[in-house]
Amino acid sequence: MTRLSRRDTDDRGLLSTELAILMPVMLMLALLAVYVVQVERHSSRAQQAADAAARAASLTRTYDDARTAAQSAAEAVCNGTVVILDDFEYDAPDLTSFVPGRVGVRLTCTEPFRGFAPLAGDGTRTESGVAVSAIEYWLSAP
Amino acid sequence: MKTTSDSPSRERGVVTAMFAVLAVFLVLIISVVAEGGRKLGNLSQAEDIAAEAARAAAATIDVDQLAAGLAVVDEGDNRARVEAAKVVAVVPAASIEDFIVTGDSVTVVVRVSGDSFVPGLNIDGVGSHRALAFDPFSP
Repeated sequence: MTRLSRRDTDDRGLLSTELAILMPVMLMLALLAVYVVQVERHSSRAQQAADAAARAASLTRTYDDARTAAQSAAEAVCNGTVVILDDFEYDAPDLTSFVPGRVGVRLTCTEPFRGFAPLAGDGTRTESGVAVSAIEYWLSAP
Repeated sequence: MKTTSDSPSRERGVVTAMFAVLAVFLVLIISVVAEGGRKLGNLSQAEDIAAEAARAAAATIDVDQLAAGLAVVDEGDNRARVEAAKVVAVVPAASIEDFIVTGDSVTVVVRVSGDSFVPGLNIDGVGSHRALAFDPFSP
């Protein structure tokens, strides 16, 4: 009897206290999991924006049109600001020599990123994407 | 008596120890999920680049053969491979793993490399695509 009552007295509330201490850590881990998923989604969206930009640009016939089309297509995918970097590449195809063209797009997609204050400051987050698309030579035909 | 006095102190911190072990596994699972996502991204990008490289390579038609009505990929001067390489070069992390030309078809295998922050985890993505050449002047 003595043994049981002493144990009860000493252990009472021990589990709750430990859980109370560990709960913030568990919440932080849960928040980390959500944060990681959101980062992946943002990264994936930046890549999708680059893919869409390259595809749209590959359907045009001049450098300026290609860049405009790329910007529009990327903005339709990214939920924020799109900056197409200066190394935008547009090589027109040549039907006479059967040389295909290509478009290379490198961009950044900056989106609002909030709700993870303990892990990262509220604000925006920038991800980059790079994509390439071939232009078949028959697109150079008038 | 000794047992009685030792018992609570022995059990104290059991939850903490168990949680410490679980936390390591949780962090590991989160890391693997994150890196798995990156690997899937690399796989998808490798497929896309392979498709574009194969399209570009298949567009290099042999002009001499075309006169005879045949759409065959031009293997002279390595033209097809050069055009595929130009496409792949746009993405710095990508490289051509394999390149096969057979008559009117081109198969390109592309690897997109990535560095994982989980030691020993390979997140490279490998994708392949086959494209066919065709005569643009045929009715």
